[in-house]
Amino acid sequence: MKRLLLSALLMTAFTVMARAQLVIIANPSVPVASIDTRAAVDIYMLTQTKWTNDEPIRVFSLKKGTTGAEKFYAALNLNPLALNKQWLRVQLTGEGRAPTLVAEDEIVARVAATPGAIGFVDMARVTDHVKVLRQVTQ
Amino acid sequence: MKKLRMVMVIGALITGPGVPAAAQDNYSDLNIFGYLQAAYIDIPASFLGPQSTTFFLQQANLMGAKEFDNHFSAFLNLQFTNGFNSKLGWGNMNLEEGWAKYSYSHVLNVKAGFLLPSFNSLLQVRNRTPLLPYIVRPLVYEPLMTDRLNIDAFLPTHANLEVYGSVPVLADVDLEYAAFVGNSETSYIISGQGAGFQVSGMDTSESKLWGGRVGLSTHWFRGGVSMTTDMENQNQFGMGSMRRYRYGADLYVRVANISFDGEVLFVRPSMSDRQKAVFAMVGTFNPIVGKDLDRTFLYGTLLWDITDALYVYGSVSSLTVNDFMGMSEGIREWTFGGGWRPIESIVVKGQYVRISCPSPHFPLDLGLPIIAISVMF
Repeated sequence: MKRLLLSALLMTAFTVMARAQLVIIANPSVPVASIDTRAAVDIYMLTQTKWTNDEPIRVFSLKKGTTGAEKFYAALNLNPLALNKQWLRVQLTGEGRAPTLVAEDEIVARVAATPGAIGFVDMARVTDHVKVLRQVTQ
Repeated sequence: MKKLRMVMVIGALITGPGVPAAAQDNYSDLNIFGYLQAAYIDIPASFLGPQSTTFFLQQANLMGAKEFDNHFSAFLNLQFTNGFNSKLGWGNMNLEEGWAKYSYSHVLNVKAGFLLPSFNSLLQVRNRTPLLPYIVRPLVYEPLMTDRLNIDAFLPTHANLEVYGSVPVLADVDLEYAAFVGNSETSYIISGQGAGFQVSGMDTSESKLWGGRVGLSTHWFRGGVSMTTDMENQNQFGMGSMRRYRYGADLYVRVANISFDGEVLFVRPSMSDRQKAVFAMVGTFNPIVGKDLDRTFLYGTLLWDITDALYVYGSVSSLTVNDFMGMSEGIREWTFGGGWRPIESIVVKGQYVRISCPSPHFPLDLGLPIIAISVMF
């Protein structure tokens, strides 16, 4: 009986882990319902800076070194080191702002509170205050 | 039970049904930031001067950026070099950039004011020390060399109006373009008191600087070609002004944690027959004068990001100057170095630079060890 319980517990844990799914979220003001991978790459490379309604894109990212950030940038095929340099270049040349780095437990609230914002987070943390633009395939 | 219900109602009223409370970034505020780099260098004796070792605040930049609305923004970059102190007469302070920008989208942007033009790739970031792995930059980009080399002879240092953008052309490839116009080289600009309505900072040349760059970019590759045309000032040698063309190409490739950066630059002044005759005559009397005014520069840097916090690199650069400098044999530089980033905003850098010039007129063979700390705030 104990073994059965343990197996069931492990199965449940693995199922939950397997279900851990990153999603790209946005502030409800954002005028698109979904984005493709190319757009996500352009937004995080800071080469696409505006939504279709001219509203500036405010980019949020999980802090460096977090599992979520590593998975997200790997899924977009972006090298985190090269990405950091690109963000620094954009900031220091006055072309824009580097993304705001936030913790996993605050990114949803920050995206929800910032018009034009985009971010990414584990689907389990998504609330009604943000909209999901895309599931990230890992 | 009533008490519990009351507490729940009050709680709901306090927390509210809306968006969860979170710090909201005010993107329209003036954003002030900057960086500095302090260094220690050991310069051996040469014809340039005696052996010296020194600590110095190589550079400090204070920047301000402001977004006015969805389309308009402005940027200011104040630069202080070599421990600027007006009382003691150290270093320089200059307004490196000051511009306003209209952004229609990433496809179309217009900048006006005083700006660094899009020419090759290092020019726009040559003074952004946190971005550079180097302490001493590739030859023509290094301020320590500009006492000896007139940087205007190689690079379009500033422009005043630029239209630029990037257009998606393939799956993940953008076409980058830029076109700019600006004043002529600084020797044409009034630096003292002018006559009549002329004031310091005004361009006195008959022509302007025109140029541009086209290239392709993706997240692991960037490459392009650049060109400018303007007037070169050779009045001090009695040759007057002549049209000058600069042609450049730049390449950046990154594979995993290894990246390559490189550029080539060809400067080709166009002399009239009279100017060629004057140049030949000057050369008859002065053996250090080269065969023409052409200049060629190239550099290549291979960098390995060993970890997020540690990198090493090696770089070579070469410069050929055929004009009045007596350096027709060229100047070569090879260097290697590395950096360690204990926290995101600080980089500790170390570099060894070897600069050599086999010229019989100005023989040079210097080995420079240098360390620095670069801080961004």
